[in-house]
Amino acid sequence: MKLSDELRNAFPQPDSNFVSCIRRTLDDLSAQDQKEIKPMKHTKLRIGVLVAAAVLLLSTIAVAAADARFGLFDFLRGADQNPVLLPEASQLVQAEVPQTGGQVEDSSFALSMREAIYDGEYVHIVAAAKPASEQTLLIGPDCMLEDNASNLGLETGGTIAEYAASAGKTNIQRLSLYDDTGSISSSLDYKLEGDGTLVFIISSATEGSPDTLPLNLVCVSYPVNPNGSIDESARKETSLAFTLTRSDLGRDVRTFATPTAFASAGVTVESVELKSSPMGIYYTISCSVTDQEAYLAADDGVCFRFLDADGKIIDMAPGTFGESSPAVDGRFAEKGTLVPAESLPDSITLQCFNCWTKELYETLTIEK
Amino acid sequence: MTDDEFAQQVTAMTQTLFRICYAQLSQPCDREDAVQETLRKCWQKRGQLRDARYLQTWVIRVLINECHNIQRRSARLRPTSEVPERVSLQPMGSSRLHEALLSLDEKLRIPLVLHYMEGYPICDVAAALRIPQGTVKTRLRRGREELRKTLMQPIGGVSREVVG
Repeated sequence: MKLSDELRNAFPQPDSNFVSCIRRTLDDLSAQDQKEIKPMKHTKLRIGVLVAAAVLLLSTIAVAAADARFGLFDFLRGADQNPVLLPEASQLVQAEVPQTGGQVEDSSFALSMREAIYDGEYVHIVAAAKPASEQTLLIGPDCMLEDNASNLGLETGGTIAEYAASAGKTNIQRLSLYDDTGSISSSLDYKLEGDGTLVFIISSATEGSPDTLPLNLVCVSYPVNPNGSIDESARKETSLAFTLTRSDLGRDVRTFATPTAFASAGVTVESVELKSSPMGIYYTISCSVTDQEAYLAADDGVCFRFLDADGKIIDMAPGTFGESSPAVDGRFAEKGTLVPAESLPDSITLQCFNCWTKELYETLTIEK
Repeated sequence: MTDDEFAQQVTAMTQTLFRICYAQLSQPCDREDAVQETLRKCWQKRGQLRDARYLQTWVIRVLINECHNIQRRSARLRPTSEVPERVSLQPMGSSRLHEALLSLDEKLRIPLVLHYMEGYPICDVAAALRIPQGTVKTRLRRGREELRKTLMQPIGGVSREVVG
């Protein structure tokens, strides 16, 4: 048998979830004309990524108690109520924000912004879609009828379809939520409350730290047919506009500007900027490539992590991601958010490593 | 290119997209995220595609980048000890070849997938990976050698040759 024939059979066929993911994404893109696909995220991915950062956005497996009303910190702290955020974080919450829209005629739900935090670097928004009737079941953008009902936070066993049938939910609506202004590139998670309200959280880095952040959340809904397909002809779109004000409680900023060479990786850290917030310590590590050969050998995998005084890795803050881009013109920057601290340190310890191979390069301390 | 044409061409690439994701990402949810983000990006920039003939190469390139982004995020945040096991589906052919392919360095695996599995000519593989054609050939050769070495290792004392 030819090598190509052998190899062609070596990998499995696409699984049904993958196939339906493509179909659904194309359907949504086509129907919504480039809009609301942006925030669709898979719960499992979030779990995979965020567990390592001690960030438990494992909200979709939380139990939906009958009287539960989920707020921002329920999402950020996760099921174990990880108390990693500073108490002052609660002072950043904006709850009474004027908002317009949120309802359209004959819609199966009403949308409202429940809570938000915007500290100039990151924004976290909790929005609630309340069903119009007891017969309505609202599900998240990546939910399929054959998924376990526990994915929605329901205590019941069986699938979503089985739950809907047993609970008399004859009107199943799949919702997706996105920001129409393009100000934020969202990640998204959701939980179902006991009264059927579907609560979303959007967490995103922001650009430029503007004093005010006007947003327009758009929620698109499709009825889900009993066979799991969506009824595109019955698509409805609900917009909700509001403006968040930056509240950062007078954050502290500290820059470590002593160039420090991580010779094994072929890079020099030119500066490290730290900005404090009750939500975390935002950092930017600005680097230059000093040894092209060594840097290329890492295949763009040079990364940094912060160590504490005991040499332990400092966790990432809840609901945040680190970012690192390949070098352009010999320079690159790594950004991220560490768990918050009462004050910024006078020195930092950076461990340089290869994110692909886990090879450790130097671990160096940089003084203020 | 119309929206329908875009959707048709991408749908026709389902197996290709899956194999590329499968070659790079061990978790089904990562694969779905990668393809979803890829389609979103390609959809938004489809007007910039000067020649519809290059759609496939372009989508593949974006997908490979997206897989790298997901790998990078995971690699950054997940200690080695917590890297989850690959969730493998049932291969259609030799499970040993399946394992041998997945054990290859990604630099060797992706050219093999694109050239031998998907049938892309070397020039297209080079374009998708943004490497010279000579490098593609070298990686294909090295990939075959590595595969052969792996597959020639005895199982229970019996040597098997699968790749010729």
